[in-house]
Formats: sequence, structure tokens, C-alpha cells
Amino acid sequence: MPRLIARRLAHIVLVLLVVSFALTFLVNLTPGDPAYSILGEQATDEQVAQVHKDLHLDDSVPSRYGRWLSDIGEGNFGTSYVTKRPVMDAITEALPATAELVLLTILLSLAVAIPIGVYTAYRPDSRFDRFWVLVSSLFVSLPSFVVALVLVYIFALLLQNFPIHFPVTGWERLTDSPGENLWYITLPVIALSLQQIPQFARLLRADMIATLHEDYILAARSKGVSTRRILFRHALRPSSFSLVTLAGLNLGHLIGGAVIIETLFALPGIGSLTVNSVLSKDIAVVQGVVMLVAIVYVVVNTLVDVTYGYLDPRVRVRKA
Amino acid sequence: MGGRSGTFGASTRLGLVALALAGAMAVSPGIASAENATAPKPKSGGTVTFSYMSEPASFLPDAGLGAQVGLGGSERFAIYDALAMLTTKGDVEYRLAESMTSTTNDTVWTVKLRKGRVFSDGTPVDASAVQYNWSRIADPAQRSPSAPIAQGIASMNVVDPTTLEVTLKEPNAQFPELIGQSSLTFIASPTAWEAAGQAFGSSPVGAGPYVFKEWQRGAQLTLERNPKYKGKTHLDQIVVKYIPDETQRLNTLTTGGVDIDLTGDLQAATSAKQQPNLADFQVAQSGGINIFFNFTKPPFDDLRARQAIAYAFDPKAMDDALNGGAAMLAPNLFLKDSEFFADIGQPKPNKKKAQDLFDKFAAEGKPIEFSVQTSQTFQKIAEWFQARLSSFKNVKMNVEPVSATQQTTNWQTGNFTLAFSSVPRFIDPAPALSNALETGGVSNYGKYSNPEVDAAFKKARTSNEVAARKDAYDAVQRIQVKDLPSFFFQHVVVHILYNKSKLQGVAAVGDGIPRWDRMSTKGS
Repeated sequence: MPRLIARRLAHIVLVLLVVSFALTFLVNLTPGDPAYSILGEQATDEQVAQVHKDLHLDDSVPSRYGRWLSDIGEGNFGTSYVTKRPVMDAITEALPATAELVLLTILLSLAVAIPIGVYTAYRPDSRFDRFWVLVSSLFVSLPSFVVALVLVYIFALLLQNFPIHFPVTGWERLTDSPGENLWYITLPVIALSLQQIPQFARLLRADMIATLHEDYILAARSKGVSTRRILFRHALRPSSFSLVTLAGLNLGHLIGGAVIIETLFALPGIGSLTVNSVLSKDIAVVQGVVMLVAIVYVVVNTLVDVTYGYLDPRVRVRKA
Repeated sequence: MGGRSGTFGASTRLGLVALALAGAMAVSPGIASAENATAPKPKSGGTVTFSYMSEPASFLPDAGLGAQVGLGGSERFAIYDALAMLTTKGDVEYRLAESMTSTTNDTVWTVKLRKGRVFSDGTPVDASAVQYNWSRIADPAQRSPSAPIAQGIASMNVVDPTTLEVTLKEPNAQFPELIGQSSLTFIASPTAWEAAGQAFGSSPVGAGPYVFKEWQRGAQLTLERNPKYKGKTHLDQIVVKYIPDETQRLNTLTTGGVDIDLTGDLQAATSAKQQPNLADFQVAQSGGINIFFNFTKPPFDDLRARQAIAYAFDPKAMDDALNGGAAMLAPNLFLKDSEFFADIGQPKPNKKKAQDLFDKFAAEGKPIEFSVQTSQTFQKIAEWFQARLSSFKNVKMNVEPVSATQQTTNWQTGNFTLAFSSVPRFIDPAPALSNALETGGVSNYGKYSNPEVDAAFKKARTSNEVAARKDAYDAVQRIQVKDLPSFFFQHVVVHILYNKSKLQGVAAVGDGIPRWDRMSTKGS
């Protein structure tokens, strides 16, 4: 076990090193000079030179990467070029909105997709299954910003004078007002979920259809086990591997990829922070955010592996 | 040479009386562009929520854009008030300062502060505070965007608590206008700034009508009434929501999520006209959106190429195509009601002349081909022009979208042929116009240089007489339309879209910064 953990940790560190160096190299290749983000359009050559000197912008990429690594070793993720705040402060401030958005999206998507996936696997080619294929194709093909704007039009604009309506934009911290927080985040979560649900449901349907043809399912039916128990107790768990994998991958992807929704709904999240930092070449913040996303991916990947063992005990036994 | 002085909220000016903006403001039914003289009595209290497209990196006094709407100018005005601001008509309005006068050839200026003003931490707004702020901005170690302006000050001397003597490196008769448009007008509490250090930008302390309460970065800023503010203010609280998407900002205003939306977007302003509960207070500026050329490399180091572009560009056709005819076009550099207006027109569209010039270049073996790297702000205009140029022979334009940072880098490093910009735009031409057209000007990216233009700007700086300044700017305009360092086609208008059933007293200062001290909610 200790050897396993050590191997895992070494793997994680190697991934983070590769990702961070590649990121530093790539961001430095993007055109634009961060000095102008700091100083504005009317910066003089002397001011630009001073900023370059202060921030070591003229040093080589390996040299700057080495300095950054050394700071990371001391727990210092650096300071934003533009806001002059510690990078970790910017990230920890932006993280709650994105974390809440992403977690609620994944939870809602699974809560809706699992019953649909199970039912359409149980009743393939039924009227509902065919209807669901149409609806899910529509949602998968629509860009998220289109879905978001339609939701805003219906639930915020058309229904603005109705008792139940939602705000167009805005954000309230969960700790300040849970009710307001949920009210603001409802439309963004639905907008993102409407793209996740079809993917999850289709994947589960495909896996469950295969599982439902297994001999042990036939045996369970022969023994008189109820349909509900067969579907949810015997068939769902072994059919969930792909679903769990996809949910884990999407969770990591959504952290940086929800930027369009964050921008449309004015949510102060990681996506918006990343895009603004890339555009202003605030390299320190970009490095910090990408490291965060990499860590999340790695952690989620590890949790997914652990989940496999829960879903299918044979995996645990094989490993043992 | 006299200076200027005035009472709080008004100012006097030598020369012509400014004309009303009504004709140039395109007022239409359902839109209000000025305070209603018969408005009900202001109601004390209440919260106003306003939205803007982006939040600043910090609320330090200096943001580089100065006393302008963008990048936190409106918020700074609420937090810091200002030593002086320009009214929307270009007059200097003294606020924390009582006057700025010069008795020594516009080189030595006396800044007189109003007595009894304090910062929200109780420390006095005095000459030492102003000296501290301006010295700090000038310090290269602070990396302040407005350092070049502050570095134009040779020395400062605190004469008494309310008097600061400022000696400039070069004479400038428009020193009050310069202060009123730059970040130097915002004065922070030195005590609080020293104590907070780098964190001051997240918890600023000023002498304005509102104090910093809370900032949820990326979401909203909350300001509440400053009990130590000496001036009059009606609102208890201002909440600023940062909503990047233009459509969503208007949707939020429509549904009552915010009370004011500050925008330069013409489509948003046009859509707002359809809403019966919304009004539009507009502030237009001279100068505005223009094409500027790089004089250091072909093809636009050649006047004929610049002329060809100017003849090929049709502002009205562009406006009809992109804005439904809603833009305020710029047939002249200055707004019609500006005291510096002169009927010296920008080149008019002429397809034949444009084609003849393009053909000449082709005959010389150098057909005009160029790329334009433009930020999102001007991408539509660039693509429209690209399509228009495709109807001409012997000319080809490529458009590459880039980030604003890259665009600025390209301009600063001279890595462009022609570019679209909204600078210079101004209420008063000093210093924005000379920054753009004078040799070595900080926004003269194309490296245009003409000694006659330089001499005209120098002459303008040495006089505060409107007639003398106008003569100088007339000379600049005549040379500008001849040399074509830039070609102006559209004035910038800031629209303050607001819920007129909730708000009254909506007015602006500068280029469209809301007058927080005059605004109030309507009584029930």
C-alpha cells in the first residue's frame, strides 16, 4: 500500500511538473506584453522597461519557470501582475462560485440523467426513448450560450412579473444568503446541465442495455426479483463505469470551461478569471489557475479509480 | 495670464458661452438627455445599483485612464470625489480644490483647497495630501500609468495647509483641465495608503460622498454613504455590478436587476428606447473613433495611400450597416457645440478618387495590401471595411482579431499598418489631442511628426483664451485633414441608461461619469 501511494504521488508530481512547464512555455508564446496591461496604452518606453525589469519579463522561460517553482516550494504562488494581489487570493476568491456551479451541475445532471438512462435502457425504442433521442440531440447540438439566453428570455424576461422567475445575472455568496445564492445560480446550473444530461443519459443507456443482456440479470428475473431491484441494484452499478469516468472528466473540464456561462451570468468564477488573465497576459494568475485545474483533474481521477472499486468489487479483489 | 476659480458646482470661463448639446445628442421620443427642471424634490436615502462591463484591477487613485468612465472612473469619483472635473461641456468644475491659478507664465500654479474637507478616516484633505499623492504617482517604483503626467511637475511646495504651489517643467495654461481629466484629480488619504500599502487598492479611503464597504471581485462593489462628506448627497448606498455581456446588462436593467447601465453600445441604447421605463442620458465627446496610420512603414507612409483609405471609407454606409444609422458621425473633429468647432471637414467618401489612387499604386508595381490586427471593440468596423474594400480593385485588407493587450503591444512597438481606435476622444482637447498628434505624444503610435502641428499645440498650451486656443486647434485640424495621420469618422457617446420610474436627478460629469451627489430615488 505505501508503495502504491508513493507511486501515485510521484505520478501526480510528474504530471504537475509537465503541465506547469508546458503552460509557462505556451503562455510566453502568446503575443502581447503584460507591461501594457499594467501601465495602459500610454505607457512610455521607460515605464515598460522598468516593469520588465521588476517582473523579470526579459529573463528566459526556463529561468522564470525555475524562479516560479522555487516560490511554489515555499508555498508562494506569486503575485498578479495586474492586480498586484497574491495569486492564491484571486483563486480562492473565484473558486467558490465555480465549485458551486460545477458541483450542482454534475449533481443535477446525474440526478436527471440516471433515471432517464435507466428507463430508456429498460424500454429501448419505446416512444419515450425515441422522444428522448430527439430532445437530447437538440440539447447536445446547441451551444451553451444559446441555451443560456433562451432560459434567460423565458424565465427572467417573459416571467419577470410572475411570482416564480429568476434573475438575469448576479451572484450572492452561499454564506451570506443561501436562498439568494440558489436563486442566482439556478439558471446557470440548468444551462450547463442541459448539455451534460444527454451525454450522461446516452452513455448509461448504452452500458445498461449491454448489462441487461447478461446471464445474471436473466437469472435474477427467473428468480422473480422485481424490475426495480434488477435495474437499480443489479444492473446500474456495473453499468456506471463509463458514466463515472465521464462525470469525473467533465467536472475537471467544467472548472475552466464554464467561462461562457460565467460571463453571461456575471458569475465571479475561475473561468472568467482565467480568460481575463490570459487576455492581459497575467502569467502568474494563469499559472496558478492551470495548476489548480491540473490538481483537480488528478484528484478527481484518483477518486474515480476509488469509485470503481466500490462499484465493482471484482476490481478491488483483482488489485489485491 | 489669469487662472480660474469657481464655487462648488459651477465655474466661469473666459470666451464663448458653450452651446447646448441638444441637436448633437439625437434626442428622440422616450429618451431624456437632461435633468428635468421641474423634477420633484430629491428623496434622501435608498440604494442605486449600476452596471458596467468590467471592473478595474484596483481602486487606487491612478488607473491610467484618468477621470473617465472606464476602468473604475465612476467608482473613484464616488470614493475620492475630485480636486476638479470637467463638466460635460468642458468647463472646469472645482470640487475639493477651490481654484488653480497661475501668476508666472503658466509654469507656477497655486492649488487652493477648500477648508475643512476630510477623508473618511478623519484625516484632512490638505496640501500635504495632494503632494503625497502626486509624488507617489510620479515615483517610477509605483508603476503608475499616470506617472508621465505627474513627472511633468518639477517641484511642489506646501505653502499652508490649503495651499500647494506647483512648478511645472514646461508652461501649461491648461493645467486645471489636465488635472480635471487625469488621475491626479483623485486624492487618497496618505495615512490610510501608507498603512495599507499594496492592499490599499482593495480598501481605498478618499474624501468622496461614499466609502468602500465590500468588494466581491468579479461580481459587485458596494459603497455606502460617507458620514464625513461635506457636500450634499442623497443616496445611502451605491452597488456596482460588473456584467461583461452587453445583452445581459440590458436584460438586467430591463428586469430591474440594476437601475443604471453605463454603455457605449449603440444597439443597447437603441433597444433601451423601446422600453417605456428606461431613459437615456447621453454624453458625447469630440474626437472619437478613427483610423490611424503608421508613418514608419509602407504603404501608409505615403500620403496617397492614406488618402485612398479615407476616400474609400464611407462613415454613413458603415453606420447604416452596423448601427442602423444610430451613431453620431464625425464630419469634423470637434462636436458642433464645442467652442473649438471649426467647419474643417474630414475627407468625404469618394469611390472614384479612392480607386484612382489604388490604381496608381498598382501601376507603380506596389498594389496596396495590408493586415489589420484589431481587438473585439473594432472588429465589426474592420470587417465591414474589409468587405467594402473588396469592391475596389488593387487593394486587399486582412483582418486578424487579437486581444486588447496584443493590440496595445502592436501599437507601442509600431507593429501595425493602420489601426482602429477611439483615442483621442475628449471633452477638452488638452492633453488628449496633442498626445495623439504631437511629435512624441504618448498615444502618437504612428509616429506622425509635423513641426507646424507641434508649434500649434505649443501655442495652445500657452494660452487659456478660447479664441487663441481655437486658432491653434484650427491650424491643427487643417494640417490633420491634409496630412491624414488619422481619419475620424464617429464620435463616442456614453449612454447612461436608467430606470426613470425609480431615479431622478441623473446627470453626468466628464465623459459620462454619473453625478452621484445629484442622483436620488423618487419618492413613493
